[in-house]
Amino acid sequence: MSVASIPTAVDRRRSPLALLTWPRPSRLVFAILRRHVDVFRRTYATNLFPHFVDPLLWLAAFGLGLGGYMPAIRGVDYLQWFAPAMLVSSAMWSAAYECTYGTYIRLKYPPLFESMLAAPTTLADVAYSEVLWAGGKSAAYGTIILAVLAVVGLVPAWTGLFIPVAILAEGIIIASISLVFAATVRTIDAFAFYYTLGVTPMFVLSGIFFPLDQMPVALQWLAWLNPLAHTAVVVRALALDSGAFALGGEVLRSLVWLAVAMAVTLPIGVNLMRRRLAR
Amino acid sequence: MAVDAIDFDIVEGECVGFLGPNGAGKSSTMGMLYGRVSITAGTLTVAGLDVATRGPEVRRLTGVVAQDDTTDHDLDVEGNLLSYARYFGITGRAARERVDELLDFFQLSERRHARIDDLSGGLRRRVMIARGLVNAPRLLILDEPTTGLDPQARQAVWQRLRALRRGGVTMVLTTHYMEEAAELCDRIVMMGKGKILLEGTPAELVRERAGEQVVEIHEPEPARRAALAARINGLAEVEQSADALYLYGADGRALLDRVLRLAPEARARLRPANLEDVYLRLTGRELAA
Repeated sequence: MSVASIPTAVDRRRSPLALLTWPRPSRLVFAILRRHVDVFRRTYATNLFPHFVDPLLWLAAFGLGLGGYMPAIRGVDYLQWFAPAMLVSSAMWSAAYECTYGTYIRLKYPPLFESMLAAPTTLADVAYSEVLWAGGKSAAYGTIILAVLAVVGLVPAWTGLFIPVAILAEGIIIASISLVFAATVRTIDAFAFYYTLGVTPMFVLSGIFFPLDQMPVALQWLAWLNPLAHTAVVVRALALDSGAFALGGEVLRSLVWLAVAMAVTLPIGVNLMRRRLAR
Repeated sequence: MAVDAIDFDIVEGECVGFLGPNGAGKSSTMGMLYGRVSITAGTLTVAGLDVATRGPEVRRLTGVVAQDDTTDHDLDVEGNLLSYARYFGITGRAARERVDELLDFFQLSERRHARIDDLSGGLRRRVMIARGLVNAPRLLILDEPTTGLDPQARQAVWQRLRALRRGGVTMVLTTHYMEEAAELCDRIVMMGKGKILLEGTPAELVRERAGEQVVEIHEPEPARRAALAARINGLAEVEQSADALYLYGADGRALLDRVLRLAPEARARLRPANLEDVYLRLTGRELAA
């Protein structure tokens, strides 16, 4: 049945540019996603609760509490301005968690991916499934919160229906960046650095809580690198689509930025995860 | 590098056991068989398929039971098997029927909704083996299938593996238990330090490497064991374990007589040689660290 003959050799060299190529997944990536859905269905109450309640708490604190002291922003009431963008931060927390702690736990306690890799599923399937699951989950949470916002009248424009697509793109970008860390950390504690130096600054410098255009120019440049800032621009315009926040050139530029960011971050995250899993 | 220039064939329908101390390269070899461990040089084909380039196709024909627990703790027993069937593209009614069949075969039907964390080690291993069979594999790879199990659980696993062997499933397993190798394997490959040291049927290996019979002298006290070894030195080839000396020679009866003449107080007895002797002689020599 089999013949093996295995003499000595050295490992192949890897080019950094190879990180930007897109490995091809098989359709079995859906089998892995289905597994995640099955697990989620067993635990959805505990899973859903924090991701659902957290944004509502923020909404109450900032929108109703702080919002009472805030002037209108470019002609829009603070609560109305703030509420749709809130979705953007909740999506980031969910995607980041899933592809840092979530991925690491699946990698080690116990090694779930080992069994998948003994089936016809490939390294690429496993790596893509992590990103897609995290992105899909953010979009699903976002849609639920969006529905609540729509019911209380905080999403006036019909274009708000497209917000889940923007959230999905954001979720995939954040998941891919997070996967870079999941693929490289040696201990689970090391994620603290990513959260303090990556996630929290993205959260603060996102244009979700206050407009960025009155910040020092250096910080505005930094914010331009933040996927949350671009998603916030897009989501706010989709939700309001009027006055200063009508769909237009600024939104288009942010969409292009997000597309490019996804084209760069997704293959890097997926390829590094493949390398971590390979033996 | 885990293994170096190993070369072996496995015939369809046989059960081959890989033996050797920890770190000998057994698990790496198993990993190579299904494309999990990459091969830096050489070729390895399973059912005519090159593992390096056609891994997914090879894995479609292969069942793997890993050494560590790799069950899905977030799903119940049935969920483990159903999700695993999906990784092979087996879905719907075909998957449910196959899973029912396996739960039945491994006497897990009553535990189908049990959480993995609530199962004993033996039951968990049965779930692992059942899962490895979900795609009705032609080749089943078992990495230490009974390590850590109590004797009853081990017997239960053996019974299932023997039934699978009768059913024509090709099996490759690794083990530290000579008893297990003798019980299940048609052929044995002994590995050490990444190389294949010996290969043959259990009977051949015992005959060639340990002879028909062995004189065993029980002596747990190290100093006395050393003194005894010095006195009988030259009678035959001698191996030492933690509490005994073993003498290997052509004529066991005559050897025993000579030992008792030289050392009448020795607790010596004659017994048939077994795989343990082959392993001991091999590890005593070639693998002495």
